[in-house]
Amino acid sequence: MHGTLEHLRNSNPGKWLLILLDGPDAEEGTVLFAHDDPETIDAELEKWAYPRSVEAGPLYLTYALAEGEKLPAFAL
Amino acid sequence: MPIPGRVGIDPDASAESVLLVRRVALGVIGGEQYVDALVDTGSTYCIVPRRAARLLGFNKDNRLGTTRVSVVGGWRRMDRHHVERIRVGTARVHSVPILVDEMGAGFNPVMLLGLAFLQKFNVTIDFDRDEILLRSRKANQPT
Repeated sequence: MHGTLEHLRNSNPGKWLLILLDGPDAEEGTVLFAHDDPETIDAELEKWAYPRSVEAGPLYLTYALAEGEKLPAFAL
Repeated sequence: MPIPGRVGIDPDASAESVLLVRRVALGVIGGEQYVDALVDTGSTYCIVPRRAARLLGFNKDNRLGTTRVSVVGGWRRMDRHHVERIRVGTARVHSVPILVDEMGAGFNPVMLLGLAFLQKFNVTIDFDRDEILLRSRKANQPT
């Protein structure tokens, strides 16, 4: 799936996304992987470990909040 | 020398309880990878989640050491690494120490943008405009 970063997040609520950006600082990219299970994401990231991650181009690891999902209050 | 700039705060209501900035660039030799970040003036260090650190080639085998950090509820020992640069919006700092660890429940995907980056600037948080201004400090001006 290719699109703007906002569109990609909105299309994958509640999921981790690994996005290949169209270029440095690009506002658009292609979803390489989307999953709601962090452990599955961990396994997938093994395939993209350095130096493949650098050779592939700029990757963006992000999380798309689900509808109504709130980040918890934060204190550190 | 740090490059001043500005960055937008995620205005989404889902993120309103924190200062969330999107697509922070972490640079190593040869490239950059991107993550989201929480702005935390209470954190000494920038803390990168393990999943993102893996994309940069950082792991326990090549860590520079460990650092003991006081967190809520006790102490944690975190892996220490170094990135060539951190870019937040249009602002940039070169040669930044980072720690690698998990953020805890609900915050695993994001990094903490702490004082190791923020104190290079005069920081203004503009809640009306949903943006953070990162301006030059006198201490960083050439003499």
